Amino acid sequence: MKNPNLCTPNDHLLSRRQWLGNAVVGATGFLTQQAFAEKLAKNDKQVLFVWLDGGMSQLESWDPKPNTTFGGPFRAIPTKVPGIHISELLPKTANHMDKLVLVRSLSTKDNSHSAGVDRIQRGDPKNRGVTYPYLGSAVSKLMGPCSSGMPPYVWIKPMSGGFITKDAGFLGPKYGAIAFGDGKAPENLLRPESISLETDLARNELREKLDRNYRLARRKENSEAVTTVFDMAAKLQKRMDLFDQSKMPAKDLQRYGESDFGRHMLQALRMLEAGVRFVKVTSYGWDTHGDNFNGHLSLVPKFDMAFASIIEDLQQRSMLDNVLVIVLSEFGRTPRINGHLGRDHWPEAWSCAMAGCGLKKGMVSGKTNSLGTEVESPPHDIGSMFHTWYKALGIDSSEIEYDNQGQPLPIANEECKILDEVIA
Amino acid sequence: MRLYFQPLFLILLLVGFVFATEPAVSSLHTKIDAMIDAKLTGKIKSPLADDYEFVRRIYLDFAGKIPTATEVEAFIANKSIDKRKLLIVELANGPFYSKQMANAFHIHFMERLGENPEWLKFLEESFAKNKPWNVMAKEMLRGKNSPENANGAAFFYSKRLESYGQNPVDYSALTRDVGRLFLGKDFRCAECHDHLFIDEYKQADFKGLFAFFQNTYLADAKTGLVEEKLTLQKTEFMSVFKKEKKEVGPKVPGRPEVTIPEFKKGEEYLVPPDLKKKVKGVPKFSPLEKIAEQLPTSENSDFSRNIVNRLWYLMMGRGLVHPLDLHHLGNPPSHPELLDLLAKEFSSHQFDIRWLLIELAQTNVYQRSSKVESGKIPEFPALFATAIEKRLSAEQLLASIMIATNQKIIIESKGAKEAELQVALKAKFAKAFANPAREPEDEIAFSLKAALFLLNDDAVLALLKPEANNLIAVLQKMKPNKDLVEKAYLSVLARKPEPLEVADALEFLSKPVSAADNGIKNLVWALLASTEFCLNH
Amino acid sequence: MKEDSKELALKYKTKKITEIPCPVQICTARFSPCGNVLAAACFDGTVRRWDTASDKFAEMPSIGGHNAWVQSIAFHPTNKSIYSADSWGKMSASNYQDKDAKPIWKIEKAHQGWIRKLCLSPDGKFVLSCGTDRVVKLWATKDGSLVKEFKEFSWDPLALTFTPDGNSFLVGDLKGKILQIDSLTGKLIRELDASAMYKLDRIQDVGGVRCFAFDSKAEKLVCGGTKPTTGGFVQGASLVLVFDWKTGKEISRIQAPNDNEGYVYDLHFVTDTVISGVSSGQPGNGKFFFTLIGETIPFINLATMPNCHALASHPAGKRFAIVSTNANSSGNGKVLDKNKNYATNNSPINILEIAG
Repeated sequence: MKNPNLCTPNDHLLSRRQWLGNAVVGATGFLTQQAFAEKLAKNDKQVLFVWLDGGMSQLESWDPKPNTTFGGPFRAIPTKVPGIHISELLPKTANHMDKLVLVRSLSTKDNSHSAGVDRIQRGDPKNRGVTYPYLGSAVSKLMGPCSSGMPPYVWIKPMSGGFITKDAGFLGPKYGAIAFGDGKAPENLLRPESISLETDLARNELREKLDRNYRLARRKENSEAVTTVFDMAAKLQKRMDLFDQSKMPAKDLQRYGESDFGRHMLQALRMLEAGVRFVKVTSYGWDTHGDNFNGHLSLVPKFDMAFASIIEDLQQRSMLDNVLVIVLSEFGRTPRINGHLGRDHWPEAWSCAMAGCGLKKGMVSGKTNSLGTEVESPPHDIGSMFHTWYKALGIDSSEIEYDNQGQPLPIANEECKILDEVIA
Repeated sequence: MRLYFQPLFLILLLVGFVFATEPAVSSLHTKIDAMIDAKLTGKIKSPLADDYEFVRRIYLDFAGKIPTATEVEAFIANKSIDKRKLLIVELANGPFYSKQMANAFHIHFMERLGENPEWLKFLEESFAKNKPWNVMAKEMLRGKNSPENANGAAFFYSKRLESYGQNPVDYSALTRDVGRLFLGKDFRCAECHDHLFIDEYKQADFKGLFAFFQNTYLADAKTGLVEEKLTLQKTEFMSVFKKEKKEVGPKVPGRPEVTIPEFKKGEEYLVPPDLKKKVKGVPKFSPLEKIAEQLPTSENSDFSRNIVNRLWYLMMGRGLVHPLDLHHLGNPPSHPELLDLLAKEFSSHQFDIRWLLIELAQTNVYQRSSKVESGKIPEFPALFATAIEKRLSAEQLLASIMIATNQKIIIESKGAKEAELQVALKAKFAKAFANPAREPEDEIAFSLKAALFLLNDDAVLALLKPEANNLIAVLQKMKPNKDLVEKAYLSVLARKPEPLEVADALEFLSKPVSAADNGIKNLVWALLASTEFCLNH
Repeated sequence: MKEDSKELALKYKTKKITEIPCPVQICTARFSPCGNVLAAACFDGTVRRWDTASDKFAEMPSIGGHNAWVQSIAFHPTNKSIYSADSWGKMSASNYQDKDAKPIWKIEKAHQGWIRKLCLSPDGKFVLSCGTDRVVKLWATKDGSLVKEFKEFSWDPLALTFTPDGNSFLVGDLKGKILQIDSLTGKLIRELDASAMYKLDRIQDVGGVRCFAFDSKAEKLVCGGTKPTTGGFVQGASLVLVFDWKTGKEISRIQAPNDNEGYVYDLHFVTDTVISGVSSGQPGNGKFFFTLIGETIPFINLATMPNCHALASHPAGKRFAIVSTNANSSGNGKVLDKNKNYATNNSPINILEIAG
């Protein structure tokens, strides 16, 4: 049996000391945090990260292999871009293929969920004894909140919400996600009636004075973090409307599909409009070890409606050039169809879809073999995607590094290369 | 046991008899300071904390809460030159020490996996009796429990032997936790092969530890009863790189392997299993008994080094080895000789936690200010040149808010309603300020959740209602002048306000929006929600 | 076990005659009405055939011309033709006895999408089909001409059968509805409740009515599916609902004790009081069972064949062809076979015979 905690041979090839050595050599080329912060000050690029938890089947979505051994029952359909075909379960998305980039050459490690979700969302860095942040936490650390001052990392998910600190890894819990459970506002966001807005402003002004005074003679980080957090609370309190589902136009709800996922994607659009830096939307239940084809027949069209609508809306609002859209799972699904008519976990050769933010439009990068059992073009691990996404966001992963209490750490796996061909 | 801990002697100490006990040779705390200072030549070093800063810090560390205004004033008024040492010793022997230490160890060793009254009782009684660490650890690692005679120490195992939903019991996580928390070594990456960049972490280390636990199980979730199945053979394993079969018996890293005794078939059990009576049987050979014998000993240097590093961290805000569970050659201690010294001394002082904490509290390192001269940038934390701000646990924060706002009625009442309120408050504070399960609370992490809680939660706002003689009620009876502001500052921040702060506060109280009681409430709220209050600085 | 159950178990005890290997996975299999041909609808767009006139089970040339999965096949009661339908919407009729299985007619776009089921009217005049386009279509068997469409219902049809009188048909849908439709007027006659076979888990519709069978007197209707507990993995306890046909009321159900047993894919009346069926759940789980109508527990519950997707019963009444799946059919990541090639699965066809 595969062990969920298994490190893979590609882990840990460099020791921390070796890395430190390299970093020192290259240090002249590194931007200081300060210079970097200034550079990013005017960067209001955003991310929409759609996470299909459990693993969407690439064969029933982005990389169909119709009429082959493992192709399953479905057809491939032409898209708006001549020559590019995707699964018939994505008819609406096919109409927006001219705005998308598909990467069909993902080849990642780890085929267990418990490790796979973490591994993919953390970008599978080399193990240096630290837990890396999820992409959302990483982006909120590297880029901070947008000029809107809204919380940088928001997670819209089914069921319960809360403050999810584990995403942040070594960056520390403050870079965790604020999760809006079923799109609802977090606890205590609403100011009680007993406190007027005026009083609220006055008491916070006094608190800020105290903190400024405290900070004068001490390490700045802690009190600055407190200030940031209170500021964010204030910003979010002004946008209670974002959580009011009765304000969602019926027409939009219909376009996005009246599933939970549809509603959550519509809310994600509003969060992006409100200036949240990184919005993650999760849909659970894609782990179709059984009845995969009926499962995808039910699931994919719901994704298709919402995804096609949000791409359309982002485009129509001229936001797509500024918003990096990523659709991802922890892995794809096996070509082999098991006895329960399911597909199992498959990190070997799968796909992701992206759009916007300086990526090319209407292209497919990479290729799997005719049966979908191997990547034929150069394979790309998730680290490559992190480099690519950072580049799209204006973060040069060869220049920028984390400073983990004095320990310099690369922001993406330094053994993986950027996928240049998808950058416009 | 040292003389310190006898009540009669304590009284003598308090009248200044303490000088007579100073040993002739230089004590541990002076050695510590010398070793820390050796690395600080030419560096910016903060001066010693003033009495206000010190008294707040030592109360939080040894009593789990801020001092009351009266306690602060008494300490300031005390003119004895040795008053810091006196207070250190008094608090370390005081009624709240065992509670605070129990809470600190609970967070440390359970990492918010869950609570259990017997476990907390075990911790509190152990710290009250100043049970040596090797004895405490032995009890935890033995995990001996029975339905008739509950033993809280077993909770360390029993919580980790629970299975969640469809997930099987995570024996690997239990193994890792024992390695991390008792030996300071996270063998996670050595589960499937020798660790690739930490040369000393071998797969055999992981598997050897694993072999102690693989046959344990939770026999009764209610009582936390941990039992063992038969261990008849060594654990087989294979590196994912080198497909070569290996095996190891139960083995504490760096210690000799435990021989698995051979029994004739049918003679393996002390209490044979009986399916009809649903008795699963008690094997004669107990690996848990062995790990309890072998791990917490003075021969095992990892054991001592781990705990002194953790106690150092509790007092100083950062481990000498940092992160706390990565002791290895590639991650050397910031002060290697100091860690050696602490481990040696701790072990030769019979693993006496209270003694070590008292020594640490007496160092200049501990007593330094968290402030630096204006305009100067503090040195890298690992130099310990400036006091490192520490996180307050949810429990410390709650206890401190109760002191600050003077909720005597709630704290001291024996009534059921008040008890219920305290339980509810504890849960709310934990939700707002504690980390999720398995996330060590080893750094400051102020969250939006915490901010929203302080801003708007009923529980916080309720403490700002004037009742009986609580702080708000008392302040409301005062005139809005300097005395009022001083009273508020002393109660909440355990210090006097600067003149500018007095002016700010009075200006605030005179604002139209601060009509009558609201101004006072919100002044106190702002003090409570300040960074200064929410940290142990 | 009750005494009569023991007797029944003895009476219906089966022995294995042979196992016919099939290198690809199979959606379903059926015996021809004459009993001389066994046909299997395969994942590779073929209908494979075996000569079952003798116990050699010689393979005959397969019927091609389909795409992707051939999902459903049906035999004409008398005229030696077989109808097959695939997941790309194509339907065709062929002569099943011919060596080269001469095509009789074909319709490229019989449905927009996956054809889920075919069935023949008792008189053999019509073939009925349903698909993911949510349309039920009635075709003339003679030439494949479209006779009637039924599309005004909000259903998601998975199972389909004519009622024994031939005047109406039943549609079993994803959401646990069974609709009886007048095949002449297209009117809804009544609706039976099989909602136990459906669950919305998160955003996934899980379950559905998968198969039907009537007894010879048209007194009982049985339908097969699962009682879903989760989507994704699709955990669910195999479920058979027994309806009194006259009243349309459920009179008993046979539900597996645990939820990894999955779907009942095929049901068959062995006598008017005994049904047999097959199921497939989590990889490795599969049952071939016999139950007395009215009982809740099968008197035979064979677990020797993993993941059974079809049960074909020989017209002579004693033989069964059970389509199962090879063992170890699942596994995460790149599982290799003995020759170090990427592993594929297959569907052995088990021929069993009632020994008593």
